[in-house]
Amino acid sequence: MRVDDLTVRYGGFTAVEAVTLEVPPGRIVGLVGESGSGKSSLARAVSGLVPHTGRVSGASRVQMVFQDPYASLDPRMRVAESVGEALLHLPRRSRPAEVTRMLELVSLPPETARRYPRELSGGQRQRVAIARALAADPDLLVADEITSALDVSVQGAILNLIRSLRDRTGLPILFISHNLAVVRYVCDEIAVMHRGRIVEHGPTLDLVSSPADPYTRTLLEAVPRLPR
Amino acid sequence: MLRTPAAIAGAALVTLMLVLAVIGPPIWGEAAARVDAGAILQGSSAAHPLGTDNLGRDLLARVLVASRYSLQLAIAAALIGAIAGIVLGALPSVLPLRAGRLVTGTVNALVAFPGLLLAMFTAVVAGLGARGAVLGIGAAIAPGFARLTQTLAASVARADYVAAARMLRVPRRRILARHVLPNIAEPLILNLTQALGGALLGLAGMSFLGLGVQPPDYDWGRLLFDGFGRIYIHPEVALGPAAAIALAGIGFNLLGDALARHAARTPAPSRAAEPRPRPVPDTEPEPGAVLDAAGLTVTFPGGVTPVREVSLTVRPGEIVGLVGESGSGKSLTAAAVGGLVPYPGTVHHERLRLCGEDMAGLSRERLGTSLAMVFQDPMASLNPALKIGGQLAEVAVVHQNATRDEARRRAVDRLGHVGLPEPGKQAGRHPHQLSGGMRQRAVIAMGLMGNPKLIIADEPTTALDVTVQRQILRLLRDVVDESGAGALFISHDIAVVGELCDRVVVMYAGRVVEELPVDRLAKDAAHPYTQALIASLPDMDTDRSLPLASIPGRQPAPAEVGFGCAFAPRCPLATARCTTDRPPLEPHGHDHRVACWEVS
Repeated sequence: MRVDDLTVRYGGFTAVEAVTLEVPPGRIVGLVGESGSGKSSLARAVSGLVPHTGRVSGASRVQMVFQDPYASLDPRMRVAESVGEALLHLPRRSRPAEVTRMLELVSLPPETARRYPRELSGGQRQRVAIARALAADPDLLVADEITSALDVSVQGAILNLIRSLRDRTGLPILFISHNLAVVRYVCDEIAVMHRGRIVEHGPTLDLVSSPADPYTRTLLEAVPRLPR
Repeated sequence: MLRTPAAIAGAALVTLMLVLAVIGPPIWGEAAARVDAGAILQGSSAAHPLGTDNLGRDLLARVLVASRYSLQLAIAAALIGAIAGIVLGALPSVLPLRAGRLVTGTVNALVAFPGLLLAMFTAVVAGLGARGAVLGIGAAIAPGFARLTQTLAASVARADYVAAARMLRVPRRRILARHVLPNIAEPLILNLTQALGGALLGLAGMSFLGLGVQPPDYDWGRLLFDGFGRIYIHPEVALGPAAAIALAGIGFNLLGDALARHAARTPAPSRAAEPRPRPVPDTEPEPGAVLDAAGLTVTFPGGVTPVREVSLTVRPGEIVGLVGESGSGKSLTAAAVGGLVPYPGTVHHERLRLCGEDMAGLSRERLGTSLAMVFQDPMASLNPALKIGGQLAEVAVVHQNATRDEARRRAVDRLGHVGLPEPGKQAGRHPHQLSGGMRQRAVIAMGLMGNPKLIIADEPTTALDVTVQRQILRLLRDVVDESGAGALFISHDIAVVGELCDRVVVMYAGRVVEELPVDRLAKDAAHPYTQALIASLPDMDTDRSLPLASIPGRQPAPAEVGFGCAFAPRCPLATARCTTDRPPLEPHGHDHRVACWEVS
């Protein structure tokens, strides 16, 4: 997936300005930045949810996983129906088997299909949301702050799942987060956004160990650390 | 649901009306139709309690029999109104943009039109009689339903699950049918109950005006119309149908209100309260402590106990971090200390002292100046309509009897103190003109207007960016160092706590499971939960080649906590004893306490 010269404007306000970014196959690219930096607008533009100018190529079937799994699943639909919405093109009879396969892919037991979202924990709901996105057979997965509404104790499992999805399926992933420690752990490359522009983009370890842009340095210094 | 007298009365009236509608015509139908030339236009008598009409028919029987027709017409009108309204309200979300706007505009115009006029106009056009009246009342009800549907549908259409469905290319009609309508059905059905009451009154009004039911048919409105001319001679002939209309209208409205209130309230789980063992203070009162709380328990009706026997000590100049995941009870603990537990929660404690004084005995002024609270959302503590400076000055005016000028000077001084640039200018601004970090500084400045002994900060940096978070953490540390106050810092982020605090208290399922100095947190944390929490937190040194640790299962909800250790089902070290006996919080080395059987 490649975006060229992508700009998002809301009225007179430019949220994303002339951004060029590439997500190569089998890679997780992290997009970090503070609130208002334009990272979520970029994600929504790539996913076709907000109007934009510029070109998005190599991603015709983009799927997005949202921040809050409590809001992204219809409370009145069973898991099978929610995931099944991605499978409307299949004959009705073959959908349940595909739903089960998707749930397995995100390490959920098949019985989950009969449950309502309210019966699931936050981590399980986020897995269902990922399964729904995968069921649409995407060529790019956009993960927008997918662990920031979750407790730390379940965050690890979701991050592990994202990494294993890349290893097993080679699916390119655009991983958006304000948490540098999370992005460092999950992503192969990191792009830093500031005021609508990408100020630095490079392989994770290089960027974290020797940041070139002063804003990246400020961000890195602000990450809270446990005294060890 | 039937807990209030109003709800019981509503349900009883509606049931009575429905029963009458079913049994009325077969029982009194004959009496209502019997013409008696010897008893025309009579008043109340033993044979005819409500009198008779111009053909000598018994009016009581006619009122009772009319209940079926009146209700049938009301139900038909309400359904017509509801269906037309829901279709009109839902259309804009499936029509093309321009056509959708046209429908929205039409609905807005109709809402502005007086309902009764709309009803009469429709009734006259549709033809005199019951059919016209029903259509008219339906037309009067429809715009309200359309507006309600539109508003509700618009809020659902913004939900993430609708965005997800759009990304899956689910057709718009299917989104409307599967996502939007089911999620707005409940308020619409509630509204229908209230609309029924309205339709009943409206139809009675139409019949009374002669626009409704025509003879030989009759409903309550028609009976009222017929009896009205005799009201000065025999008032009872008009009062009978009037009472029936009023009772039915009141019944439907009361029932609708009760249903709406019931739906808005989440039912409390009904579970018998756990027999609370007599809590023994497990620590001696600590002299000199700023905050000394023991056996702090918060309960909600139905045996829900989100905070259980929590003991906390904060010394002067110390920042104590209270850490836990969502649902651990950390915020309610802070609220209990500050006296801010929301209704209907109740707080019990063995001891709750601020600087050695019982907090229950402190005056509002003392509490207002010696306790400062900072919340996650600074907008929750600031009045959006007032200027920052005025809000700060109010603290001094109310609690310290300062004059307006003194208070204002002190406010500007405090704003400068928390690092707001150009404090004089900022004092004249409204909260929305400040950035999130600046607002949080203003809230801290507000706390510093008094002379705080204890600062309670509940997730004060969670809504802020990391760079701003760092500045606010520094400010809190400076304030504590300088004023000698103690601080209770509540956070879900153990790394933030590690960076700011002196001591950390870890909560799980309403109880403190471990308490230790922060500098030993990474190395000496003993409770399996604390260890797992630290291990599952990625930081800038985490090994990227290994899978990240996580804790299987989930924290029990406050109503689900059993007798043993609440963490046992998720704990790798758990034994049979852990599931039956709860481990007490016991000393584990210097300044370190742990509640775990497998540690000590």
